[in-house]
Amino acid sequence: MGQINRTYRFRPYEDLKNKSALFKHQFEEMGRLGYEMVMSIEKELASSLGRIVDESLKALLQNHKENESIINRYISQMDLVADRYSQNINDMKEQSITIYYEEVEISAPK
Amino acid sequence: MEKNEILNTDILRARIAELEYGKTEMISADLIRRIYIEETGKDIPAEITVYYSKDLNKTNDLGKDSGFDGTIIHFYNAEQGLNQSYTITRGSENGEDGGKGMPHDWIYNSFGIFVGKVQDQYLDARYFDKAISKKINEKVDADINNRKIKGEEVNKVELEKFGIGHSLGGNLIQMLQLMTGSYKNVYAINDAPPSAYQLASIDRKFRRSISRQFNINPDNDKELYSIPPSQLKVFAEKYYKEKGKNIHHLTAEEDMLFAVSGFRGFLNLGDRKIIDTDPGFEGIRPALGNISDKDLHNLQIYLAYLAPYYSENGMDGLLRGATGIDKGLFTLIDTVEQEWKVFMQGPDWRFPSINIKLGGFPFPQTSMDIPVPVPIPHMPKGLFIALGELNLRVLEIKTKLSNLTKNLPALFSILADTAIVMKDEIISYLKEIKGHLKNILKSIGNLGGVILKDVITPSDIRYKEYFVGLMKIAATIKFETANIKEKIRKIFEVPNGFAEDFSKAVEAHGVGHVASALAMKDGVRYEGNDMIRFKTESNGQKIEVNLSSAVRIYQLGMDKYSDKENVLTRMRDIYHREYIEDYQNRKNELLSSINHMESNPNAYRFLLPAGDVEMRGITVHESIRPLENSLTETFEDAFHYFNEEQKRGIAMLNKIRSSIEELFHEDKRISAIFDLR
Repeated sequence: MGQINRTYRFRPYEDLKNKSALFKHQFEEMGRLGYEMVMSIEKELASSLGRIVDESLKALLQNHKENESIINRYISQMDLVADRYSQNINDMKEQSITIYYEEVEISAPK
Repeated sequence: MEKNEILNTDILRARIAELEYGKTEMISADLIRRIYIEETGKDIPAEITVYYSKDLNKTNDLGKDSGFDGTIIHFYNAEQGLNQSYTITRGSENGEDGGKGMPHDWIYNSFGIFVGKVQDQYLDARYFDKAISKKINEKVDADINNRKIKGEEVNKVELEKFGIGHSLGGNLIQMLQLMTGSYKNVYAINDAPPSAYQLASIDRKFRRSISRQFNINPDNDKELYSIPPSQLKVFAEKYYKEKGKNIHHLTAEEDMLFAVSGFRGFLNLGDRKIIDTDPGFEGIRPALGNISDKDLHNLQIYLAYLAPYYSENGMDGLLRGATGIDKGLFTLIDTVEQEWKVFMQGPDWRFPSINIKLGGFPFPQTSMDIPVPVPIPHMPKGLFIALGELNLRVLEIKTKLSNLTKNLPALFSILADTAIVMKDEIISYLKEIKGHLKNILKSIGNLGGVILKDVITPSDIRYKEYFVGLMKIAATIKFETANIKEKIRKIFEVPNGFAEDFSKAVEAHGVGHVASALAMKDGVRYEGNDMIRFKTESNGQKIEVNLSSAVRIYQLGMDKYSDKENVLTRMRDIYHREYIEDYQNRKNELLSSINHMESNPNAYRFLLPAGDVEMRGITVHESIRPLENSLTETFEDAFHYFNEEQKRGIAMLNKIRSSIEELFHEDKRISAIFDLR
């Protein structure tokens, strides 16, 4: 009995990198909401609200600044994540197989 | 006051009246609701609809902008039987369109109220009130019918109308009440009081009563203004006592309008609450106390003469009425100059025949007319018309300025009677203005009359003399009007105590100032539409918090964090769908395919080598990597971060809220103010 070892692609190749766009949009939305809040706070801060409130708001603004850089980092990571996922899935679709067969003798006609 | 009135305190009414000016943002149901919550700590128990005068296509029969602005707020709750409207007539603005336009309001204060000659703002206010009341009634009728059709047991409650007005708005709302009696209560804040002359102009019955009482012809200004003011006041206040009984005045002792409310003609109707908004300042009333009624009377007659000019053409008309000078004059001068240039470049010549009488020597007994052609430049029609117009205008200026200079002494006298510091300097500037006016009159001299006579005789050839004469006058007018503007500017720059007192009186006039004065004892003042809470700590330190702003930030912040939470939830869902579930689905599909291959190897015969071979089986050496840790960790890390950021942000907002609540712990409304919206 003969055998052949080879790889076999069970599903065609797919580019799944565009999954990153879905997440980028959500991160951007998160950033936009924070930005809108900061703009409103800064507008209100232009006229003094009183020491107690001002201090808390400044902390809130600082919080947002950190938030912004973290959001940007996540946005850039999304491409990498989607890239690796796409690679992972396409690799998975190809598997090693062994095919077993027998040669058949064909009798000559009488 | 009605027990169930929605706007049931002076502060609430003053704040809503301030809101109507739209200084920071346009009055809206949301703003009204916020102010109500700030003042009462409760939500408003009604649906709110706001109607704006600017939304009415047609404000009066004249179709002109009178300067009137107003708002009607309708509070409606069918279940609770609440159906109330508040007509708010806006007070004086320095100029229309946010100060950029004409100062119609202040002109109306003079011509409409003091003199009683202009009615346009009152007419617009009446039209607006009537039109919107009709609209509200139709809306409520439709709602009640709909509810009845649905089987609800509701009965229509008649619309209860209330009025609020500040400054000029206070005058308009009182006039509406006196003329229509349609309000349950009218609240006039630092109002310009109605005047007997204004009422005589609008109310025919009252005018007839004056005529009978004082035996005068009320259509004759001189006779009307000659009635002793004290007698007219007593008569008018008695006449309108019943109609004015529901007018409630709220007046700052230092208010500038209150200072002049003792002048001739002004009436005091209804009740009045006077508040001392600045204990260190007694107002400008003492400074104006010595002004003689005779001078006011003269001023009134002069203003009555000017009123029709304003009614006809607004500010331009007023200037034309007082001086004969307006923008059109300068355009006319430019036209004459242009036409003259064209003419000088090369006139068309005509040769009319002039009969020359021949006779005498050497034939004394005979004479005859001989036609002789004489070259005369043909005066272009445009130049001829423009010169004629300019000449007529010069004559008009002469008449108007003569009248104005005659009336200036009354103004000097009024000023001299006041206790204004530096008044002598102001008077000296006014005298200089009078000098400039006289220079214009002097330049006109008798030329105008001479030219008028000659210009209408086109065959006369002294056109150059006329042109030069008129243009000299025009140049003098231009030069002297510039001088007059400069002197007026200097008057306003004169440093004097009165200016300071006057600015205090102006400040006290503001409706926000009144609201702050009323709320001061409760540790509250107002800036624009915002409520400022303050208190003095035991160590003497004063702490102030803009409560309105803090609430806005708190509510907006909470809204944003709620939105962020939604985004986070959505992001988690997408992560699960796009990666976790997607991976699992793909893995299952692959396993299913592997299983199919191993179970049905003959279906994959195409994989066999060429030749006579038979499939015996296929083994898949499956190697399926799990989802990468780096992927799941990235997302879990992000979700954790946003979760924590959310908690931190909300904690900070709550800290703002709790520190304010603690600071003003005695006021239980504050908590509700943060919660309600």
